[in-house]
Amino acid sequence: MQTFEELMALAEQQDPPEGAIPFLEQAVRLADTQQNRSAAFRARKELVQAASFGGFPDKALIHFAWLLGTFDRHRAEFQGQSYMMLWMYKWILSSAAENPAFPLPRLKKLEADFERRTREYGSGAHYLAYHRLMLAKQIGDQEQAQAAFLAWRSLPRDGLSDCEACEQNKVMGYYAWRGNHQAAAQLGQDIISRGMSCHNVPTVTHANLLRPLTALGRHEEARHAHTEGLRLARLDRHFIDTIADHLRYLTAQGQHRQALGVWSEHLGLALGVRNLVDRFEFLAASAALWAGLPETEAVTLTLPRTFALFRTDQTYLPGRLADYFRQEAAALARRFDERNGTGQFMWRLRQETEVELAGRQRAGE
Amino acid sequence: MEHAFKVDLRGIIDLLSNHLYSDPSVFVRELLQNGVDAITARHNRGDTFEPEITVRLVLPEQDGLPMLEFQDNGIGLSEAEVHEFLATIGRSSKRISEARDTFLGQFGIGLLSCFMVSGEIELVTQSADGGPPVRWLAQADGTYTLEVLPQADAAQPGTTVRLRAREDTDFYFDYDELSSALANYGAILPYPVQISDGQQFQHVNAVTPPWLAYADGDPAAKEAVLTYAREKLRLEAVDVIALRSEEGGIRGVALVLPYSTQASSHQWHQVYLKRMLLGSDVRNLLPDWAFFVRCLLNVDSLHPTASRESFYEDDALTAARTSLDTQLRLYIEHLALHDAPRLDALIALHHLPIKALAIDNDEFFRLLAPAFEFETSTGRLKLGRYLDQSGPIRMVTNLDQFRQIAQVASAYGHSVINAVYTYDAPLLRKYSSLMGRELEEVDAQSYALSLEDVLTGGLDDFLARADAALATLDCQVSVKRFEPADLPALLIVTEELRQLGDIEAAREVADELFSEFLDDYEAEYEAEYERVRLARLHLNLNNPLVQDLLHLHDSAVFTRLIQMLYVQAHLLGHHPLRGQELKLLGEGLGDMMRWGIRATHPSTLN
Repeated sequence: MQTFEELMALAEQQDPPEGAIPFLEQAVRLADTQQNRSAAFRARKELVQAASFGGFPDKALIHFAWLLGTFDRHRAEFQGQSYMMLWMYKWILSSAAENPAFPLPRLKKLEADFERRTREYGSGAHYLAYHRLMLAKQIGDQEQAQAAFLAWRSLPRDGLSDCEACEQNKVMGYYAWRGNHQAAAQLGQDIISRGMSCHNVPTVTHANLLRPLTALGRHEEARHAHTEGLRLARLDRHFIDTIADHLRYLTAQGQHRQALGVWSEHLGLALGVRNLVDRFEFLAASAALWAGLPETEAVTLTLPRTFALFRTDQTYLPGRLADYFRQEAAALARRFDERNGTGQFMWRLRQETEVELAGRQRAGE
Repeated sequence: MEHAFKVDLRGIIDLLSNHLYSDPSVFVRELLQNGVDAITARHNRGDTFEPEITVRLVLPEQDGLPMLEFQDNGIGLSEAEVHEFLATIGRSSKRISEARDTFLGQFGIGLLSCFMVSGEIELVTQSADGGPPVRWLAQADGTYTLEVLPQADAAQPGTTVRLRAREDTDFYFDYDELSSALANYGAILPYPVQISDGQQFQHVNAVTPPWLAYADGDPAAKEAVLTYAREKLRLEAVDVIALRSEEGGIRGVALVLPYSTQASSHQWHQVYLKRMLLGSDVRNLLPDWAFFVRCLLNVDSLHPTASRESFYEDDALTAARTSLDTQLRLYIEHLALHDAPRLDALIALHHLPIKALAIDNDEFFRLLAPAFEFETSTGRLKLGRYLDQSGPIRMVTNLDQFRQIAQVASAYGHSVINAVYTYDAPLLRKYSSLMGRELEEVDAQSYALSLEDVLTGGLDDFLARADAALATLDCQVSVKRFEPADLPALLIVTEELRQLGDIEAAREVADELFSEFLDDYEAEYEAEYERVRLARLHLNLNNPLVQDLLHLHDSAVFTRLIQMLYVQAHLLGHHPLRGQELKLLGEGLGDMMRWGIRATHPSTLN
């Protein structure tokens, strides 16, 4: 039987973060059995981090709930953990917003709770302002997003703000979302030439640059961003939405063979992703990809057995797959739209697939 | 003659000082590069001479600031050429890389970068083509003067650059700082670089590091490289791999690290571009999986970014990276074929990157797979040994379930692999698909179900009573026969039930807001896991105690015994004990102790 310390050490040796999860879970349960609160706290902290970055937002929230409750009940013992708790709370905030099962009023309560705690701790409102921007973008409310953006930029950075690389990446992301290609390209190239980096940057930056650079006609740069960005994001569960961006780029460039290669390589991973926003992005990009191919010309691909439409003869009809992914994406889109009270997700999905359909039809069916 | 204000240098000075470099001390590299380029140009012209790059530090009098003199005996500049470099700079204020494309452009950029540390730059230069020497004196505000000096007889070609420190940059003009910067950047430059301050003197690159010689194919140099790594880099390298690539013009070595690293850890490789240090943490040259080596490389034909601190992402870089990838892989394959003990040592230290590589590359996989070690229910085994047994490859991908199954599997001579460690499962699946060996992904539930069933005809009553004993514990009882006979019961708990347990644990302390979230998750899991909600306790009819239980009619004792078997099964299967189980253990032991005392000392009971 492995001891708590042995399990924690094993967790550390696994690679990447999700490999650590089973060991950390065992450590948590063992610590609980031994009624060792501080060990249980320590193991859960590691687990919340591994789960957040390993693509298990449900596990992250469940164990965070224990952490927060324990933190509140035993202030004297865990006072020193305040900063770490608030930092983790950021991850929980954003992953909760990305789960359509949680109603908006409850998300608001979560925001309020976070705000109260940051105020008590003595930190500023910088991150929360960004969170509101993120939510407004998801809902698709341009006015609200602009107001949130200005509010966020006007506040000074504080101890809970993300690193500079992330912050610049977020600003760039906002400009890209608004269709301001020049600004987005400028900011993105700046990030890369300055060698800024953190967990997400520049992996996400490269992908964010694809649409602006293409729109500006800077095709060579876009190609580099794609090559390097794909290399960094490949086969990482955390970057499935980034892979979706790369798929969209390849599809838009008419490079269907490459797109299918990247797509089939990531299908297994994507189907298991728990973050529903990420899964939606992949499904939507899949629908667009298949819609862009000649409907009745079969394609041969090796796909995972776990895929619902898996065939042993490995041949797939684009028409069927396009329909399938459109339906799957629409199902998710409806859940988000219902929760948000808008039509943003369905609208985006329609936009994306119709562009491809139109393109295919133009190509002479 | 004085020429003032012809070209506006302010723009480019600002660019160089504030936006390009990560660190002002690169001015040392820039001046070195200019010196090297000048000497090379003079060689190419056909001159025979002893090349020299000399740095003289002039320490301040009383309250003054230190001054630096940087001298080379290279090709020098004529008056016309000075005008030309200024014009090139003036034109290229937006694109540094363009400016660097020409000899004079690079010269100008290098020179102007000195404004990061100095308020004033003085250049005195004598062209190898003859003519009078020229003096150029520039200020940080972009103004400058240019004068032609009196021509001397037998003038030596070369260039001297003089800088004076500012108040805020005097530490860059420290002897130790400068000599270590020069040694850092110039370690493998082909021309001697020397520094003095009037009292101390050092030839910074007097000894050429041995790794270039080893890369060039001198096998005797290997020991020297290992010693160099130990003394200069404080690294006890496990092995040295020579690396040579046409693509990118790369020569150097990879030092195999003596400690385990992870993909996320900082890869740092020391890379030189045309013999000048480019950077000590160049990241995009080696493949991602190469985090178990540190490389020392000289690159001749890749393209650096404008700051000269990393490589530009282009096809040449991609080709170079592919070539290095192949060579590192060949090294490991060579070990697999000719040096098994060393391969084992390598895998023991660096199994993660090697396994990652094996998953991506079929050839590599075939060669290495038998050497990989796995944890099994019959001990640690190399895959090769494991495959010697007949039957399918059996693996469990859940840590919890592995322990549950391991108790029973070995008794049946089944060796089950614990494939919960990173890459284990993908490796085994790959082996199965590549080599055609059957793979069974075992989960505890189905494993238990496959154990020998017992006709429960006469046992209905027994089972009902046993279920009742565990009613509050979400556990159902079944009866089987299995080995080992001394294992009275096997408890199988699904992962899903564990998750629900985690939610329960959180709920005990969570506040109202978070309880709402927990409620949602619980509902989601319960709906999804309807069928597998219950844990199962499989009683072993081969076990004498269980056989006795069949005939036990005292209901209180029977209930407690079933509950104790339940708790014991937890312990033997390494299941975590939650509040309920601990309580049960306490109560159950208490009862049994009292019965024991009553049975042996009837009169002393409380």
